[in-house]
Amino acid sequence: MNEIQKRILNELQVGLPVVERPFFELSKRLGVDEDTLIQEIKLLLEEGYIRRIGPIIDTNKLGMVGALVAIAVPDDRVDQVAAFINRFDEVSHNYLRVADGIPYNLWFTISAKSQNELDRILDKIRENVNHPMITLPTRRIFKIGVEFRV
Amino acid sequence: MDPVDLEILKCIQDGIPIVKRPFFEVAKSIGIDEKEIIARLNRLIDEGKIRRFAASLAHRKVGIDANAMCVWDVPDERIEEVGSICASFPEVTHCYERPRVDDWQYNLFTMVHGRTKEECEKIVQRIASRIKIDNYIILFSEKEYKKTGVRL
Repeated sequence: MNEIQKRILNELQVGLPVVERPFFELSKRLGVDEDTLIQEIKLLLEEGYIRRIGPIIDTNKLGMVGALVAIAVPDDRVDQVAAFINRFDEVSHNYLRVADGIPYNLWFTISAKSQNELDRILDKIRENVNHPMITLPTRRIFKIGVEFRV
Repeated sequence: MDPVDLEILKCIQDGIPIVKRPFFEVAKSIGIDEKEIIARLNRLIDEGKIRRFAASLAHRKVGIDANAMCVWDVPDERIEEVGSICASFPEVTHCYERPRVDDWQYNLFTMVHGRTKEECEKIVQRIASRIKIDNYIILFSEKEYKKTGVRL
């Protein structure tokens, strides 16, 4: 990645103004022209550095309910259980996380329109996945992602 | 939630088109005026329902390889203070309070990003000495099965 790409990535994480020509506004901050910036961003998307440019939504303020869920899955079944969990659109992140002394190794975040909806999905998961599971609802958000310097 | 707001958000949750006037493209596809879309999105930002408009990166690809979830056992009366200190570290991208349940005693969750596991460990040690809590565990991500935005 070259210097200008790094600067673009850093600026794009901070944010894009919601105006008619957002990339024109950003190009002024970066000191490149709009066409060049658009080309560079398309490349960064194609090459997979950027996943998407879009709204970062505060699910709590939209009235959604979210939780972090952890399951203790035997090693040889993790891929299979993870694939099952991934089928739910309400699951946004799903990771294998391992630490000494912690039985839970599959960690995923889930958010739904209401508590009922969330409970319904978790029940469905529990019916299909017969391993110890804990649900940790979001009680308070001190910080929600993310800027780091590339 | 307002149905028109929802329609707009559903249309752009996977990303806006990378063109000079992205909201004009969105306007064409859902039949709502470009100016109205922009006004509604800015209102959602003012209301805090949208945190910001920004890029989501593939961290691994950009060299931020290690992603550690550090969980802390924080005395309940210190949660406010400790949560705020943790959030102030730039390497901490998320910081949430969650309840203790069953056999799970950790109530503060911080996501720490670094270039290597060692870098993450050093950051966590710095945080630990600032908040004076040594009852914590680092869970590194060994495999990413899914990472998307929240679906509306």
